[in-house]
Amino acid sequence: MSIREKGYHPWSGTLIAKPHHWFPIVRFSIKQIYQKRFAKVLFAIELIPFLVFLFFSYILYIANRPDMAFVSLLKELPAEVKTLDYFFHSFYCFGTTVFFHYIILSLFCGSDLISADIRSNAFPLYFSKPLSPLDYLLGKFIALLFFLLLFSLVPGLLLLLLKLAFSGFDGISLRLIIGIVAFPLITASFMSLFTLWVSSLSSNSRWVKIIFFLFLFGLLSLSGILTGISGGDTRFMLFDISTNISQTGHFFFHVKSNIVASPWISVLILVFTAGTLFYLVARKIKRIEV
Amino acid sequence: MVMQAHIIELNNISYSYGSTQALSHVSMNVSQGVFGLLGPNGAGKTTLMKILMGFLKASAGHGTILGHTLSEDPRLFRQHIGYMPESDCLIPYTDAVNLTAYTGALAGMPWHEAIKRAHEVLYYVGLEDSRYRMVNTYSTGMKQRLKLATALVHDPKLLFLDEPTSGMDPSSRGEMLTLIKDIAKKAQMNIILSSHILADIEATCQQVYIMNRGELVTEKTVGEKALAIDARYRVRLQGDLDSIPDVMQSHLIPAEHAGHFQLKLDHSFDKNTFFKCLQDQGIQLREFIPKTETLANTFEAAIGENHEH
Amino acid sequence: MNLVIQAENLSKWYGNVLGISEINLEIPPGVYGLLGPNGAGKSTLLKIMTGFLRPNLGQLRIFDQSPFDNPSLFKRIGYCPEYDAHYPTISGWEFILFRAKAFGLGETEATLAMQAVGLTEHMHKRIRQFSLGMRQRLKLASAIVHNPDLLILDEPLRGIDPLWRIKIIRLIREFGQKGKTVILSSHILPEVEAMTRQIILIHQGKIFALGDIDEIRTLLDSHPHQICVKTNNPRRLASFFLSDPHILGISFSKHDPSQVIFITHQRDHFYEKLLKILIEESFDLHEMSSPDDNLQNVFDYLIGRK
Repeated sequence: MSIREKGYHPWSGTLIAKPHHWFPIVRFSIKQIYQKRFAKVLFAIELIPFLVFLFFSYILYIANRPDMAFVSLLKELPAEVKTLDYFFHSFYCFGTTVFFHYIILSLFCGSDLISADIRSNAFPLYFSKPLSPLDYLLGKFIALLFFLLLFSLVPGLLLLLLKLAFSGFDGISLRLIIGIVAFPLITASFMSLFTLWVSSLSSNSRWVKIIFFLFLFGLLSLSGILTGISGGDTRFMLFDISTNISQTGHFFFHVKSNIVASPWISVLILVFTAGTLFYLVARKIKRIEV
Repeated sequence: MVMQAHIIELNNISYSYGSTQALSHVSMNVSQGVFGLLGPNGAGKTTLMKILMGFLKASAGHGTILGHTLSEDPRLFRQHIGYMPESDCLIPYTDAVNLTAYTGALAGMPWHEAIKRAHEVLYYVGLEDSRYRMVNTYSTGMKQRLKLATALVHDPKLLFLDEPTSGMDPSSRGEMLTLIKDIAKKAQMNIILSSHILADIEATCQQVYIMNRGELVTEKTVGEKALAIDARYRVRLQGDLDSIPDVMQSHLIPAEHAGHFQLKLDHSFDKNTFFKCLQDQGIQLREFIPKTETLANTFEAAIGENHEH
Repeated sequence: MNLVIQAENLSKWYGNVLGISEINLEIPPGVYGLLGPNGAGKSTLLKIMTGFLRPNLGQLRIFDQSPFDNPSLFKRIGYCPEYDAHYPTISGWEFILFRAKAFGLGETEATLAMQAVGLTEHMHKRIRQFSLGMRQRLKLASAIVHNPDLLILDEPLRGIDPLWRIKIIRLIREFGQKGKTVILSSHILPEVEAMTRQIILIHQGKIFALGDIDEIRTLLDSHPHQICVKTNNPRRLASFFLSDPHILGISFSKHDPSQVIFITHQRDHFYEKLLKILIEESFDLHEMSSPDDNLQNVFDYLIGRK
């Protein structure tokens, strides 16, 4: 029989041998985002595009079955539309669909990821622990990426699986699969890093949102103005973020683009800019006075 | 019994940025126990703490902390250090348990261990009733306790406390000082406490390092008794103090508060003589304490006029 | 005896929230520590004293005038608030000079004030370059520049380093010795004790204690006095008190074999008897003190969370 005395007891457990210090940050940030006030409502709304395309997926399936009643309506559609490439391209890029959702999700989930820490001065709490600025950045990056991919990559993969279920391997190629995975990864990573960078610029999350929009519309306006001034040279549209995203879609899904520039350039632009933004945020975090 | 290795060993540590010399040639050997860090603003206390925690690298000199050298990657020893900063550093929109467990997980604790330990530590610092509440609803005293909890959750070997009682009301101050004394005694944790409040250091620390202008000026044991050659006592008397007999006058010097005196004894005037005098005069002896060098005196003597700002 | 501050049935509340309730005060010149837990009503009382608030009930008079909406009274009052109220772009010297001139004084008084708080070396720097401790000292300087009769100080030592803490404590004590009045609100009880023996203790919007710490301690019936005596033979000393009905308890210490603690309500009786026994029985007294006779204990006993 022994008693437990009141007071301080040392911890008898052991630390994780080779911990990934970014993982608790991912877990904590995801939980915080999920617990935000309108999170569940927003996520429900974000599921709508997936549900819509789920429906169209069925339509395409029955389009190949001549015995169904309204198949004749679908006969009017051009052949290109009926391909899987076009289907997925539409899901990701039609009328900048995914970009619109990226904006909403990034702002809601990511605008205060770093700015809240600046505001509450939480950096001594983080950096007095054995983690590096890179761990911190990686943790925040993955947390935001998680939500962006949850509403782009995951639905895309689910739709692919459904297509497999409905019509077998018809029309599915390795290139398509790579596109379905690579497109969200590249574009969501870019958006995530962009949002993190903007978030690190101010301690006020309202300002962060304003700066975010300023960049978006600023670049759009700039590209529009330059295109106009140059008398219709659409290569200037490459200054605009949404153009680069849809161009990336054109690259991966082999759909014809309406801009003069080659689509692979946009992929490079996104990757290169993402890298630069990563470097900028990392530098800012490293410089923070604890 | 194996000789305890020093917790911290510093050898001629210097640090400068731009043209400012923040620390110059600081050497110290810190063994087990509670140590105070005292000094005027700009003395280099914060810089020293930052170097010890690995936030800054010394410009010159070398040292070890908990057996690791300061030139190593600080992540190797940060698991064993707990830091309670002076500034507000808590993440507001989460509850105390979550926050404490989070800091434990960041230190490398498995998540479920971190949660269990968070509850334990929150009970210990006295936040058991409010541990499920959001941190932004906490009062200053509660936030200070929570900061202490986040510093203790991973059971560190060395605690850095920066102004731990800042902003707390008198009852909470007393409780925090009791907690610190308890951690030092029961948990045998090593503590380095930096504070402007002399009373806090006197209450908790065994040894004090006094710094000024980037240098370590002196090291003092708290409550060290004055040398016995000069038998002096602090006494408090009550009664008719206007007519102190001449024989006592030369040995009794009035001190700052009314009724307080400094008593100087020697072979011609010893304790018994003193007591008899008091009894004859009908004066009550209420306090009789051997004079020790107060921390205030030590500090003033060490820094004196040689200080900035 | 002229009263500096008089409060009669003073009450203030904000909607449902209580500030202070039925406070009666009569304060002659001297240094007083205003103590209390957070939310007790200290700031409310200070705001009424400095004329920022008007009470709902009762009245407060300072130098026999009402402080509310009474700017001329402020020539005699110096206030050091908790918050910062500076202009960051001007220098410390310019600020204090401006304050001095507002009272019809000049450079001499401003210089004296800056010397008293030790800012002469850096006073030409802009206030935004001041450290927290320097800004605090600037506030103090601006509170004393016009040599007021009443000083109201709210946490005056915040952020100040130990050396200047000691000096300012001395400054405040000297102020009191010159016949002026200081009302000082602070949470750090040992420092209050170094400045004065007079306290005003507020809790739950009411005055719980007002007066000398010693007298208040004597009045605390529910907490008998502890007197710690260290001698060469503590147990023998204790034996002389065993049959004394005024002694409520005697305890010894595991860590210090020379120590014995007596618990009694009758302090006078104990001290007289102890002195007699020390002389008659030739005990060698090492130390005698009252461990719970300090402000922290008085505070805890009165406010009593335990």
